[in-house]
Amino acid sequence: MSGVDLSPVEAGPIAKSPTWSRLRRRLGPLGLAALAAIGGLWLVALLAPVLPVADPTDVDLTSTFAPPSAGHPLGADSNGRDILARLVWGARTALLGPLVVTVVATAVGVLLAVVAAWRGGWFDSVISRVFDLLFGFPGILLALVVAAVVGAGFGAAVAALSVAFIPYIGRVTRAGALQQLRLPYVAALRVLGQSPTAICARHLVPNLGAIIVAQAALTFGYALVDLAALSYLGLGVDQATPDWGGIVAAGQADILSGYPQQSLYAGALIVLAVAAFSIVAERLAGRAHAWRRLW
Amino acid sequence: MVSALLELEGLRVSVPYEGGLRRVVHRVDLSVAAGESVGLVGESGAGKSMTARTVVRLLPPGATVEGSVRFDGREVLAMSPSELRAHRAADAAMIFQDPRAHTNPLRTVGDYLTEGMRLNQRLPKRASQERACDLLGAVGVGSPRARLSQYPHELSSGLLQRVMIAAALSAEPRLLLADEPTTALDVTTQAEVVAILSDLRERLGLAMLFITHDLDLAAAICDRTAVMYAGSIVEVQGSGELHDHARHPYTEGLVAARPSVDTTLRRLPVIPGRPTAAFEAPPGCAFAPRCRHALAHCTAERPVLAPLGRAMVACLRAAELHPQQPADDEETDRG
Repeated sequence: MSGVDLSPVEAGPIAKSPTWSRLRRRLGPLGLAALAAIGGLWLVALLAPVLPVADPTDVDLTSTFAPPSAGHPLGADSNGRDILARLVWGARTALLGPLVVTVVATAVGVLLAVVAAWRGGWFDSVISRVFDLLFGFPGILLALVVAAVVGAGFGAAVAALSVAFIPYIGRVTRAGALQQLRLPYVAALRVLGQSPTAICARHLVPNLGAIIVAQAALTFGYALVDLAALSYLGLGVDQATPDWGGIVAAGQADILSGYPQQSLYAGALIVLAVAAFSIVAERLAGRAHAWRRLW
Repeated sequence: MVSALLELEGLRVSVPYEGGLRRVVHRVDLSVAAGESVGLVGESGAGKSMTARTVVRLLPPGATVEGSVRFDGREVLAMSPSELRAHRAADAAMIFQDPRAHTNPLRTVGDYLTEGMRLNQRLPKRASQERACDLLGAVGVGSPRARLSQYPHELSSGLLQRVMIAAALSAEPRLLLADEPTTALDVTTQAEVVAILSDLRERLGLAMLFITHDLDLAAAICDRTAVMYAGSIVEVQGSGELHDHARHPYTEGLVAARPSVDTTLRRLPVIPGRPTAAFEAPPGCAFAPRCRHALAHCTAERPVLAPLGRAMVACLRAAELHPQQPADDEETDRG
């Protein structure tokens, strides 16, 4: 350790790595690819109306099971509808639903978790038991119950899953919050006269940001699968609206007839989207150190 | 004492421990006048920190407090949450032992300093940054503007402790609670921080309750020093007098046990036995089992703080051991 410069250093501007480069380091090549895939899917979903694809609801019985051609780049389904168009438009419901679920579940979950961790006592016990109860109750089952009560539909499915995913965010956030609240800096903030709301909103939640974002990304993937499954069961979007889950279900009958394309394509997209979100979530949470060396 | 800014009376604190309550502060009566600095000295576990923390009611969940804590005549223990918040924000500020643990590592120094001003004093952003710079300058931090955008991990402990002092001063409190602010620092930094602290205190006319286990440090910066043992205050005196005319056998032991550059000793005198916590203290005088002056009645009767000359001492034999001619100082321990 010779040659270490011990002379005092004037505090200059600190070279901070910009957020993007830190993010890039954190994600690694695979994570970046996953992020790009997510971005691509969202882009397609948002641009669906202006993309040069056919009308996904156009039935043309003359081109039933048409092979790929200039008119139908991925062929047509049993009703002669353009598969590519249905996949592109299906991205909208497939991504919008999980987005709503994730936003609602994260907002409610974080709020409940932080209040429970801060207040402790009976409030914490009640919230924790509710989380446990919901956690042990499959989201799909909850959605089935809701569908049975208020009728099947996209809104009902999204609402049910929003509730079902609250504990996924809430439990992790509560655990993190309990850990943070024990740290002396929280006591120091209290002594400075800051209100519980200010401490939670300005310090606690931002400090838990990484795990909340990671858990939210994971939730997005789960919600996408569950919504697709509900569509597959006919409890999500109605049959006419294109949706990946619905497309898998619709194409199922055709697999035996030798036309597995649309089920395969839609299934592959679901896998791609879920895998991408899981990878990004895993990387953001910093849980993939061993992996990252390989990739 | 004219009018006390802070008055602790019959303070008892118990904290939950393994299903029961454990008493950590047994009986504390102490007052701090406006602008006065009072040292609170004692070993680890004597209840010094708990005593200071009750002033801002920063106690572990489930802790019970008896007695009274009055700040400027108002009872702190009876304050509503919003009153308590205002009290913490404006009246008393606390400086902690470990500045690194007591700052949010993910927020910049500037955030830390300005947040309180913006939330509690409704200062606009620009003005709060100006003030933060002034405060950093006042505590001797160089190039304050650049420091504002730094994170706690980029600062040394000594610098960070100054930032903490600056934050404590930002609300212009009247009382500073310093909980071993220099223990975690190396000796040179310690001296700087102490110098800044006492200088600012005098300039701003702040009262201070200074917790330390360093008797000399307390003597150097405090007007009066209170000595705690096993959750009780055993002696309060002017810092100078305490040093030369310790009245309680425990204080005598502490004074004798200090190393000094003036004397050469093969071995430092020690107080026999080990320190006792308040909850395990015997029924009589808590120090009796370790006291070489202890008599039978010392273990039966608990002494209370009573005046003896200019000192306040909680010892049953104080008057007997120190007849009121402060000429003879030959009572000191020789080990």
